[in-house]
Amino acid sequence: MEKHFLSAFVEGTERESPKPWYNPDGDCIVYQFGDEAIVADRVDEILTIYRSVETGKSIGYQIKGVCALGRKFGRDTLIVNCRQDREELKEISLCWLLLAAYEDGPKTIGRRQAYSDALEYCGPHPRLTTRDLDLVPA
Amino acid sequence: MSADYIQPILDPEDPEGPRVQAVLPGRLISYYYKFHPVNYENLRAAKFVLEHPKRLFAGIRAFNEGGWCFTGRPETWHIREDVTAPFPANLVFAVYLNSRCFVYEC
Repeated sequence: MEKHFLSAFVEGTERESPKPWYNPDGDCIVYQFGDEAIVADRVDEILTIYRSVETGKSIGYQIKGVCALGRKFGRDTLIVNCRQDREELKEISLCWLLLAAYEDGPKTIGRRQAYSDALEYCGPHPRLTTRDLDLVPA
Repeated sequence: MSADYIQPILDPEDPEGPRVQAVLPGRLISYYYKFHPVNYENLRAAKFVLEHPKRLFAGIRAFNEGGWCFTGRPETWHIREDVTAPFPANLVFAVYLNSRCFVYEC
């Protein structure tokens, strides 16, 4: 296979298991647990479900407009946990964020199914630290 | 974290004018490589689409100002890290850029 044009950019980088990530350039939280080609299935202006292109099964999600959601619902209300672990660690509940987003839109079967899928995937990784969100532009 | 990769693209605000620079952020390159090797491989398809877009879209986010979506059809893409396939006839490959032309999803 032809050498990847970015191979020099990732030299020495180790592979890891997937986990949710806040992408400041897109102001979105993404999580995809299956490593395969995906089709993005837009549910509404907040949630997109990632589906396997081969099976059609949902394998992840994207929460869009995180900064705006923080402003709308109150960033402090998203913070559900603090603990002392050498330093104070504040965390944001992804389930809380998804439920708030769901309640804010029309209660259709399609949305309910999509948000239900996304909530299930929050299981192993239910929270992001607020440190991850400090990159959010003002 | 990786360095940013610079890709010349059509100016979405003036497609007839000189090319502008899109940024493939190092953090996105690293994220894809670390956690999603298939997406990392499909950055080749993203580069192709940025170089040969068929349609450009604006107004792609409800809560974020600006931003663009470049769409196109690469001949092939990766469906697994080491498996390539013809790009499906019923899909388009989308590359999303924010208002500063930083790629954030593809």
